[in-house]
Amino acid sequence: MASGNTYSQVVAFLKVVLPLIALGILATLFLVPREVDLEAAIPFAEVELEKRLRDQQVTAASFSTKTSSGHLVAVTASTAHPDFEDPTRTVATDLKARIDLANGQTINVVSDDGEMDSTFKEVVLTNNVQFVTSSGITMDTHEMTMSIDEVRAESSGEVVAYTQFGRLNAGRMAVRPAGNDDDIYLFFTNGVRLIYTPQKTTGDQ
Amino acid sequence: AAQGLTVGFGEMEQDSSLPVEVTSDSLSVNQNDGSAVFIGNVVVIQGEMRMTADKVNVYYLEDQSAIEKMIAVGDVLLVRGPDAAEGNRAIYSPEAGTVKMYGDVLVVQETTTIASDRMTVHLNNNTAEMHGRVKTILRNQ
Repeated sequence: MASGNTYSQVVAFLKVVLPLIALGILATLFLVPREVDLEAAIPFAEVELEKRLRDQQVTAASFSTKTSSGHLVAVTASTAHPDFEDPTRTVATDLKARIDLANGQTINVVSDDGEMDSTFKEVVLTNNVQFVTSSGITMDTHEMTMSIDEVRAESSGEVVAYTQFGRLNAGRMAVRPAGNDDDIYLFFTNGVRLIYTPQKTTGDQ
Repeated sequence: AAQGLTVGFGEMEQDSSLPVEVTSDSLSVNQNDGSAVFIGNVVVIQGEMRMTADKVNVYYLEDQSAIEKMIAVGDVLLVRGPDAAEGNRAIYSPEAGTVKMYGDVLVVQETTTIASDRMTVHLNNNTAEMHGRVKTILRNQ
């Protein structure tokens, strides 16, 4: 009878050994290192890496809020990094700000440079600031301070505006809600000069 | 006093497609309806016409393509060549080339002074129609 059961002895033996071998292979699988060259995977050159680390530069920085009265303010910049002299301030380049007013109109502002203080309450846009409203007003100025958490902006100097009612020069410009129902108003102050050219007159008596 | 009186007002033929220049201390534009209000020493100049007032509201045509009318309020003074007219309120429509003045209108020309309730100046043909209690005072030089 002894010889009759060699087959079952062999099976019993294999039932134990084979899983152990499988377990062994599985365990060692992770230890076999595949040669992965991490170095080449990073697309930054050595020098740029240091520059980024040194001045903590952020690319395509963006910042958006919703004001209490329901307007959306979104500011994006191609690069942003802390100011060298005063690290609490952030300096950004190639800024685009977009304000979606509750009544559906939009205001788009672009500028070459911008600066923000640590409170992130407002951004100072400088150099080639252009302010365009969907109601057809385009304004150029040198520098403008724009609030982030509400619709409020103010130019620090001369403004030239091209509107549907003609070309306008003004000493200062400010945008803010006013009036009893908080409509958004553009205020031009410090002397205003508008030149309007009527189209060919229709009602010629 | 005559019910209505037509007088010459200003000399030059006014082409109402001449550019209009408006200067003032400040201007506010409502983003919702686009209405604009000039405030403080407002001066509106078109060709030979010069109008000054404290405040001027600007209203556009429906499609915002042109200025429909400007309403001047607060000691309005309209000067065209030798003639001057003052009143409490004036409605100036650049397209139609007319200025309507209301509220104790007083027209001063070289020798005559005419007072009335209302006046309509037609810039294109230099005439002004005066209505309501027209009173003419002739001074002989």
